[in-house]
Amino acid sequence: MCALRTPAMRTGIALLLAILLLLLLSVLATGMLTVATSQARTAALIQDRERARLAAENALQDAFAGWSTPDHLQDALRRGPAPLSRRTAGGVDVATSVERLDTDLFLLRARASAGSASRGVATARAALLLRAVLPEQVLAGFPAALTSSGPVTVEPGALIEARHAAATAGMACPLEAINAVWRLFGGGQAPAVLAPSGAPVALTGTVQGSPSLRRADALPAPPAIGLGPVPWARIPVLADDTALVYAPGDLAFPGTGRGILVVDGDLTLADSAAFEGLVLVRGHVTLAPGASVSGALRAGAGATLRDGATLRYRACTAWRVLVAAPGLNRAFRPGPRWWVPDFPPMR
Amino acid sequence: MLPVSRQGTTLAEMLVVMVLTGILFSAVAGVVRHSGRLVRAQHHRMEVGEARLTVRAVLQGDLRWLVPATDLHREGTAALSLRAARGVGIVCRTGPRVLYVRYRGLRAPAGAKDSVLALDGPEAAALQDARRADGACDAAAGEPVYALHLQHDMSASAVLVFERGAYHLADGALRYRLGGAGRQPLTASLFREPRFDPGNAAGGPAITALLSAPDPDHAYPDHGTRLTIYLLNASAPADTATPGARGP
Repeated sequence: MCALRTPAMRTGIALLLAILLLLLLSVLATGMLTVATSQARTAALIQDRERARLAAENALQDAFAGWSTPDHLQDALRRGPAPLSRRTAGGVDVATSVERLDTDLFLLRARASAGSASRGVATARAALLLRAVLPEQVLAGFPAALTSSGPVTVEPGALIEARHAAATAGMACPLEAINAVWRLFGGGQAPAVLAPSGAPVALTGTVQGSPSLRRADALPAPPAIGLGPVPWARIPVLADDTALVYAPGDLAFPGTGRGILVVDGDLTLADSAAFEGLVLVRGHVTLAPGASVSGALRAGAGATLRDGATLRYRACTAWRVLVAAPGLNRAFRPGPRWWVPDFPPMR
Repeated sequence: MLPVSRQGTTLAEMLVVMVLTGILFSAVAGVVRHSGRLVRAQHHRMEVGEARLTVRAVLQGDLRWLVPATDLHREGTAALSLRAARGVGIVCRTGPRVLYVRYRGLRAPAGAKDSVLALDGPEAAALQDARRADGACDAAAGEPVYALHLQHDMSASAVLVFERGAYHLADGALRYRLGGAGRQPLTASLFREPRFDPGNAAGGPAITALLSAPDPDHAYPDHGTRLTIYLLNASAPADTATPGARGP
């Protein structure tokens, strides 16, 4: 006869083993889940941080590419960052701001944040230092009707006339141009010819200016002259923009033109050629009989004005072509250090 | 007379049980041993992964803004001396050998260890003293103003406050040393024979950090890590920097 077993007779450890096994599996599963979750969260945070960083740097590149100096000429100096743009794309929020640090120096800042409140928000900051080219700075590089680092010859019958902006009444001259000329020349007339001490100068034609001839101890050597703060190395980059004509070598100019003419060689303005604006020449300039320049001229290796040639200093004309040159409205990197770190405000 | 009841197991049954138990135990032991190696390898990979992230974040954070030719110097194969940016100041007022700046940074400027570099020019000067000067010029709410007392007069619109530090690859770890102070490990000692090399990346010479962390058990040789970081297109890594020297 098979007797029923009493509970006391139920030996074995199956239940206990099952519970232990279940516990072990639970611990393992929990551990693996924790590790996987933690890794996923870390990976997401790293990804968000990278996205934020790229977004911040891209926003600065965008701001740099779309930079227009006239939009910021009225910005006050060192008054703190002013909002520039704000956008959200792909879950990344980016805000940029600009602060004018000096007359021509600007600091762009970008702050980007990516992620969500549940998994954490990653932020990134970057800043970009930009130097703008101001018309007055370029105009300051043309401190006379004719600025020459070499010998100057003005033949009989040739004319150099230098008058400041206020004397060109009747023309619609921008107030900024008048103010700039006032600052550059102290309210008086512009010199007609500026040449280094010791450079041969023969002024046998008509030369009107205040003074007619000014000598300077040292004028920058041809490789050092440029369009104000824009050095020669940068000028070809600007050549794609309208109103700036760049000749990489010698140039014989036969017709008429208006804007900024830059010649990396010798320039000859042929008979009856006429140019309005600024002329910067690295080599020697020759104005043939009947040729005329209205604006200002700077030559690195000397200038010759033949009989009947005319050079008139016109600050207003120069100012207008400077403002109209899109290339000069762009900003440049001020030096090797233009990407700079940006830090959150300290608490 | 009743026959004697033969309860128990036969010899054959015993042998079968013993053999089965042996097979079971050896299988379990194998699984446990394998699991142990797997766990160790996984742990190693995680440690290496963390170290890689640390190396990347730290070097990227500190080197990203540098101008290699002036800010970065290789010291032999084990150290990289650099100007580590710690803050940026917008100059709002100047005085004799002092710049008043609206300051943002990782920490406050410290006269004992920091230097100042003009962001819009080549000038640099050692910082003699730095003091809070709120009210010396206009600043946004909560934005501190500091008076940076310099070794000499300096003309600048914005300045970078930096300390001269060095990253070392020593004893298998990346370490940071401030000036002549001791080396603080930033990662676990995982890397085998790490070094900075004057690499030759496309586009010019570069400094590379070579970090190799093979799996110690060699259980998963393919999972050993060899990390090459192209730090910067440095034009000319200089070996002449004086280790621990303070100054701009």
